[in-house]
Amino acid sequence: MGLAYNIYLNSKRIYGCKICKTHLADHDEIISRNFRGQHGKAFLFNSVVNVQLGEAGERNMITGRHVVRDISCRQCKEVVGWKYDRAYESTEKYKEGKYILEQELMCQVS
Amino acid sequence: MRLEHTHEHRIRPSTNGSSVNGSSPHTNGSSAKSTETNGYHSNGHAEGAVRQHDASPFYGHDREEVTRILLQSLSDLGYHGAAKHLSSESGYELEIPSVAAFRSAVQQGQWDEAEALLSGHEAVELDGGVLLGNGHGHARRSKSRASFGSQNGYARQGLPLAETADTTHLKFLLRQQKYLELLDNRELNAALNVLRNELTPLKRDIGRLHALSSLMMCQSASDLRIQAEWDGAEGDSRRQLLSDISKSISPSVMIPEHRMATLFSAVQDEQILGCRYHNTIAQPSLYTDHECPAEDFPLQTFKELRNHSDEVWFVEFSHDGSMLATAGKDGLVCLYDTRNYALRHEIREHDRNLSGDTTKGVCYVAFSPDDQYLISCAQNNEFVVISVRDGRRVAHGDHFDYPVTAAAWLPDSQTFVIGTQGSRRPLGLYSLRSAAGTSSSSSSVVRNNEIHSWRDPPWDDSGPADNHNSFRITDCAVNPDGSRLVATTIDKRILMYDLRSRAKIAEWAMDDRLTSICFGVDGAQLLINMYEGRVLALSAVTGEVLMQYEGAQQAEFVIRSRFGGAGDNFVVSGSEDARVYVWRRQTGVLVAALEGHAAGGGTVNAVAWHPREGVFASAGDDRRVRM
Repeated sequence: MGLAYNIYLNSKRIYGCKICKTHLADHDEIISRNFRGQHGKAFLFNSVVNVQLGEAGERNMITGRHVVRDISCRQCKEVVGWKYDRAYESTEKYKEGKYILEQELMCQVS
Repeated sequence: MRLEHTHEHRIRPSTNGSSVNGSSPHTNGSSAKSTETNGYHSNGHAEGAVRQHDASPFYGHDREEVTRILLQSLSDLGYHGAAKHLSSESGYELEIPSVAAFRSAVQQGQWDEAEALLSGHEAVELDGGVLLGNGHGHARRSKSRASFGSQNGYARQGLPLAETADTTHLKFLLRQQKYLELLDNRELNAALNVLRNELTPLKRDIGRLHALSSLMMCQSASDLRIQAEWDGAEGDSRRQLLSDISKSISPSVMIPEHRMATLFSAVQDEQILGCRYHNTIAQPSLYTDHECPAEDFPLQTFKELRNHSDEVWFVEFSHDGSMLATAGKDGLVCLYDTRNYALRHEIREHDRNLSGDTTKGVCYVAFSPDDQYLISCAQNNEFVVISVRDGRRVAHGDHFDYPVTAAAWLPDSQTFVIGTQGSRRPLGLYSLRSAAGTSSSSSSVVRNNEIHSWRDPPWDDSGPADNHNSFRITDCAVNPDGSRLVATTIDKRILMYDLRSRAKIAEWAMDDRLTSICFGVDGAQLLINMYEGRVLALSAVTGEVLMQYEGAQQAEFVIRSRFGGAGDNFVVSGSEDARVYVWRRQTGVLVAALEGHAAGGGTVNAVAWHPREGVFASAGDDRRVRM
C-alpha cells in the first residue's frame, strides 16, 4: 500500500533480487557461506533490506528444528530466502535473527 | 498635508551638500519648518500656562500615556492643528524639550550638540539654538561646543536612556554618521580627524572601524555611498539614525515611532493567529474582533474521483487552477478539468517496458509554470513530458536504471530538474528544446536532453565500475523565482544548489529519512516530511526548524505535504491513518483532521491545494481522489 522507495546500499558488492534488481544485501554482511537451501547454495547474512517477512512456521532442517519465516523481495514479491526466528538447539542459536538468501534467486548488483 | 510614513520632519533640503563645517546657510523658505518636531513644545508651551493634569485613568489606562500616544498619531496623520489643540487642552506634551532638541540636532546634522544632549554636559543648554533654522537662514552648524546660544533656562542631565542602552554605542553611531557625511562631502581631513579623535577612542567594533577607514579610499561620493550602503546626508540616513537611537532612549520619554499603529497591528496579528480558519489575505477591519467562520474553510468532501484502478500516489493542481492531475500505481495519469471535474485526458504513456506488475506506477507529476506541459515520473525508470493540450508526449528520458522519483520545473517552463534513485544520474537538468537549438516542433520528440547533471563524486567514465556512492534523490523542488534547487536524498540529507551557478550552496543532515520537500510561495520556507510522522517547516536560508506539525502518521510510505490556503496560511498533509491533516502554518495548531478515505488502513499519499479557490484534493490508497 502506498508508495515506498527502496533502500539502497553503498558498497563494493551488492546482492540483489534476480528479477527486479532490488538491493537485498551487502557482501560484507555474509556470516557464513556454508548453507544449502531448496535451490542450492545459500548464504547467511547479518542484515538484509527491501524484504517483506512472511508467516512464521516450524521447520525441520538438516541442523534441527527451527522457527523460520520466508522473506520475499519487496518489489516483485518473489521469495528469496528465509529468516531464522528461533533455534531449538543451543548450537544453532547463533542463527537467530539472521537471514538466509539463496544464491540461485540472487544476482550481483554493483 | 503631506502624509509621510515617518515623523513629520520636513526634510531639510540642503541644497549645497551637507558640509558640517558650518556656514552653509539654508536657503530661506525651504527650511521654514525644519524643526517642526513631534511635539509642539517649542511653540511656547514650556512657558505657557501649564494646565492641571487630570489624573483620572482612562478606562484602565494611564491618561498621560494615552494622550501622548494620541498626540503622536495625530501628528503622524498630519493633523497638526488638532494636535496642538489637544496638547493645550490636556496639558500634556509629546516630548520634553531635551528630546525634541536632540531630535532636531540629529536631523540637522549638529553632531556635537546631539552628542552633548545625549550624554548631558551641564554646560550646554539649548535655546532657540535648538530652534536653529526655525524658519530662518541661520542654521549654522558649528563644530565648537561652546557656541550655543543663550539658554532657555533648562538644565539637563542628558536624555534618559532605556535600561539596556549603551551610550558608547550611541556615540559611535552619531560619530559614524558624522564621518560618513564628511567623507561624502569630500572633506577628507576633517573626516580623518573625526576618525582619529572621535571614533577610535571609543574602542568599539574594530572591524567596523577598519571598514570605515577603508572608505576613505573611495574616489567619489557616489562610490562611497555604494560601498558603505549609505544613502547620503540628504537621504533617509539621518532619519534612520534617529530611529536607531530612539530605540535606546527610554520609551516613556521618546515614544517609539508610530506607537498606535504598532499596537493595532499587534492586536490584529494576534487575532489572526488565533483564528483557526483564517483563509484570506484581506486585512480584517479594525472595528470588530476577527474570527473566521468554519463554513469558509473546506472541510467536507464534495467530490470523489474514481478513475484509477489502483492506488493513487500523487495529485496536483495546475498553476492557474484549471486542471487537476492525478497519478497512480496503475501507471495512469489522469487530467481533469476543475470546473466540472470531468476527465480530460487519460495518459498511459508508461505502459511499455514493463518488467513486472509492480514496476509501473507513476509516482510524481509536475505541471510546468505556464501549464503547457506535464512531466510524469514513473517507477519503470523513465519520465515523460506530455503536452497538456493534446496529450501527446513531447519529450522523454529513459536512460536511467532506477526509478525516477521527482521532477521540478524552472520558471521558464523550458527546463526542469529530474531526480532519480540511480546513482549514475541522480539529479539532472533537462531541457525541452533539442540540442540543435530549434524549437521542438510537434512532430519530433526530444529524447534524453540532459543539460547538466549533479553528482557527488563526479562520474568517472574511465574508472572502475563501482562509482556508485553518489546520493539518490527522493524528492526535489525549485523555489518560485528559479534561483535555488533543493533535493532530499536517501541518506537523510537535504542538498541545496544554486541554479544559475549550478554549485552546491548548502547541505543539511536530518535525523530521519525524508520523503517530500516543497517550497512555500515566497520561497523562504521549506516544508518537509520525515519518517515517524513529522512534518517540519524549515527556513530556506539557514535550515533551522521553524515549526513542527504534529499528528500525522508515517512509518513506511511516502507521504507528501504542501503549503496551501490564502497567503500560505495552512499546511496540509496526508498520513498513514487515512486522514488528511491541516495545520495553521504560523502557529502549528491543528485545524482539522479529516476522515474520508477508506478507514481500513489506506494511506493518504498526497494532497494539493487549489491555488485560487478554497478547495483541496487528497489522493489515497483506496483508489480515490477526494476534493
